[in-house]
Amino acid sequence: MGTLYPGLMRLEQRGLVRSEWSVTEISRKARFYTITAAGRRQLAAGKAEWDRMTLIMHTLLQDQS
Amino acid sequence: MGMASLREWLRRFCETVRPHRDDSDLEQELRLHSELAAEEALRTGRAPEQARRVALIHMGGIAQAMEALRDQRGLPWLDELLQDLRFALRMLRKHVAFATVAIFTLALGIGATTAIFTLVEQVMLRPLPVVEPDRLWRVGDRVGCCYATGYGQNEWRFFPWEAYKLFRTNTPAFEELAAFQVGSALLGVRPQGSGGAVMTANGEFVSANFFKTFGVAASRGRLFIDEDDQKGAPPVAVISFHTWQEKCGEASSVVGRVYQINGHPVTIVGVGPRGFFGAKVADSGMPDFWLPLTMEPLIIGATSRLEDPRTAWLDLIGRVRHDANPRTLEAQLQAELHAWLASHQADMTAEERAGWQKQTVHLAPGGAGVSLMRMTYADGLRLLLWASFCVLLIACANVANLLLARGLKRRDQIALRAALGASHARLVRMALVESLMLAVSGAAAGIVVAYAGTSVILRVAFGQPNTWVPVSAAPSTLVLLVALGMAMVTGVVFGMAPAWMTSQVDPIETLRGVNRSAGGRRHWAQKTLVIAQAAASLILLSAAAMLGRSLHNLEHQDFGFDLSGRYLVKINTMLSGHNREQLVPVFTEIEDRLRAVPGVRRATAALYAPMSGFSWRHDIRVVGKPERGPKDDVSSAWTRVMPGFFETLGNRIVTGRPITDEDNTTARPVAVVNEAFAKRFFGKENAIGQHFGPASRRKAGVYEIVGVASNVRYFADFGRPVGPLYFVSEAQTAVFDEPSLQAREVGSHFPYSIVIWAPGHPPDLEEQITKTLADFEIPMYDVQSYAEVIHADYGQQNLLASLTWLFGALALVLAAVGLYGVTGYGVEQRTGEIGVRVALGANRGQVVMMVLRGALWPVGIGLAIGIPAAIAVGQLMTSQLFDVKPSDPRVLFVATLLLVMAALVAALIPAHRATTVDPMVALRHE
Repeated sequence: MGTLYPGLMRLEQRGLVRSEWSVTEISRKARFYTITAAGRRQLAAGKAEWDRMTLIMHTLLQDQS
Repeated sequence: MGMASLREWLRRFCETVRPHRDDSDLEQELRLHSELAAEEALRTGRAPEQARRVALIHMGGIAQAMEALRDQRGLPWLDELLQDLRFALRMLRKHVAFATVAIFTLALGIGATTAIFTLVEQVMLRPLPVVEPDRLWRVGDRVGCCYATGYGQNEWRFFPWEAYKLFRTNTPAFEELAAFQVGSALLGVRPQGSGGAVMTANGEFVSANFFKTFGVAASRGRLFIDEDDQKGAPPVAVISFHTWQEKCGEASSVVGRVYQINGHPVTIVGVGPRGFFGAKVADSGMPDFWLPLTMEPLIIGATSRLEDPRTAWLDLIGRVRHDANPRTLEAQLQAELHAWLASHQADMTAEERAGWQKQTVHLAPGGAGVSLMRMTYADGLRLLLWASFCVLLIACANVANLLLARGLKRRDQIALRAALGASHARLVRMALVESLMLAVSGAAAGIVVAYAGTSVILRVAFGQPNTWVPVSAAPSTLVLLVALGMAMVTGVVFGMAPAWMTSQVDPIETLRGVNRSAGGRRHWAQKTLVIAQAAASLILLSAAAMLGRSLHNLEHQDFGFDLSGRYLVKINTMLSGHNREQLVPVFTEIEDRLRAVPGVRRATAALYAPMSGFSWRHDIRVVGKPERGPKDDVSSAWTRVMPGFFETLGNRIVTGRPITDEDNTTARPVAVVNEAFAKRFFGKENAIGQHFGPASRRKAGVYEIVGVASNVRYFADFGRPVGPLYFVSEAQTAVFDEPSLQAREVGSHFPYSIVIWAPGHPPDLEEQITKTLADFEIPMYDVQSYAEVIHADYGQQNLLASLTWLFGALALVLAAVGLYGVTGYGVEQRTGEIGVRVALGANRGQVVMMVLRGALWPVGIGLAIGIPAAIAVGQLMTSQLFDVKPSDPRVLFVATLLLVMAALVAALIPAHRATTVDPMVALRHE
């Protein structure tokens, strides 16, 4: 919790997620976090970066064996 | 750092100032989360108690999470800083008395320093208010008065008109080269057609491109154009903005109006730029009117210097081209000077002819103009700046002491904070923020103090009517910045040590409720501050005492005549319209009329009288003596007097006779010399009957010496013995071949002084004199007793001594307050101990002695450090001192006595309070 919420807040401050108070389907008050367009772009970029990284690592490790 | 993180930073910055989500909102979210986690645990089939525990462990505690969230929400350091600021403000508001004392103390310290720095900035640092002052270069690098004659200046600083024109045409590296007269021309001004009184004003003859060189434009009308500076051009003048404002009430109708200047109609064509005061920075004679150079013969008449190549009377400042190299330019000017000198070999004296190739000229930065003020006031200002620093230092020590004492009182509060987890760094920062806040408030108040102080200084120094100096009390941006910087530095200096020491609290010890530990280190810090204050005050006081003593010596030195009953009348005969032939009869009549005033014994006019501020000087030759060597000083002052002058002044004739009525046009020119003259030029020989004169060898013997008068001091130059001086007769005019000598011979016939011997001190003296002189249409400036004249002559020394005394007094009061605070605090801390002592049989005297001993030994150490330091400072000040030795025991005694008295008073009050301690109360308190 001490890591999760500051992380969410950082994402929000960077404009990657948006949050608001709302009510769940079982009528409980909760704070809803939604990914924004910028967030989606950032996610895609991050994912691409990750894929590239794993590919590199994979290739490297295969060469070794 | 990408856009996203920049955005994050901005959001956090904004949230620090104004949070988007408040704490309760965040907390609610966390609470909901933890509830959900607990429910989740329940659903998975755990006991409710256990489920809650799991949820809590899982979440790691709401309080810690909140802390992490808060840190992420804003910028923690900024947030804490704002907290500290708010806290500091609250503390200051809560302790108004403490804050007031601290801010007031700092305001005095910073105010004193800022006031002096305001003057330093304007006199020493500020460039002229003109376009690109760094492209201005001055030809010649020394400042002086008022002109030079001959071809042997060695290092050239003034130039004749002819040389200027040559430089101007032949030096393309100068975009413009302007010439303006050294010193100023006294003008008598009156509006054309009005019968009003003649107003005196200062004129300055300048080349037509003067304003263009500085890149300034007229605020009304126009400035000079080349056609104005041609012989035979219609006479025109430009009035300075300041004079226009003061004397004409900013009336636009002034432009185009015709004024009678020295009797000649002159059209005012324009008003100078706002804020522009010319290229000279001087404490007197700042120009009211600028006139083209070629008008000089018309306005000045017989003593004109324009056409004389032997008279150098112009300062030159040029604007150099962007690509010009000053060093090449200097070499070129030197070559031009030599070429010009070469063309004048024919009219050089033998000695000049031998040395003309060795003449040099230097180029100096001219952006600050020709600052006579810098030369006159540099030493004094430097001294005052140091003195004000001393005051600032003492003020800082006081505030540091206050903070230390208060830190002790706040110890338990701080211990609590430390116990609750505040870091050392945070505690130090908190204290620093508070002291910086004090310092900045002190600086704000100090700037007000400085403005008031500078205004008073300027009024006292230059407040005489008709004197205007280009210095104002308003602080410039630089001054404000320096004041703020000073506040920052002092805030850290006086805040750092107390802040650090307060943070060194051991929470356990303090929280145990023991508020008794004396804190040895703190004790030492306080005593050290007292020692420093005592030493600094002593240095300031002894500097003040030395300057005061020096001033006293100056004013009470032997002037060679009896001041009492003697008066000096300052006049300007040049502006009266009388011609030279009328002067002897006119002044004979004036003297007769003044002598008829009851109480007046004698009255005599002279070119100038002792200590009147004038000085005429010649290099002379004596018939039958070998030519002077290049290093020999053969200069002598001279003045021109009416018969009866020596009796009026009470100047004893040692041998021979004084100047009498017989020394008139029909007789050979004679001179009376003073003893210094006789000694310098004749040694043990008899001076009577010898011949000498200012001319070259062929006419050297123009004056015959008929008498020797005892030495009288004529000039306020300090410390120097009375120099050679000779007197010639008002009724005689010698004939010289050199036009410059002839011009001075003629000009010197117009007296500027009347000395009056009125032992009866008639009450209506001034009225009688004013009336008499008005009847002869001679403008009069003022009548002063000789004591007043002397006082005014040493006005600068007086101001310096007074300000140093003021700073000394300030330092003393601050140091005494500091000592009082420390001692009082000590007594308060030792109430219990004193109670025990009294209970065990100590009497009042022993208690007083104990407190005094504790208070006075740091003062004693301060004295031990301060006395040698004061002597050392005195050594550095010797150029400011007249007849005072830095180790003068009287001076040191006065300073020590003042300090000890102040310390005694400051320590006796708390000592007395200690004796009122009731042992029962004190012990019960334990």
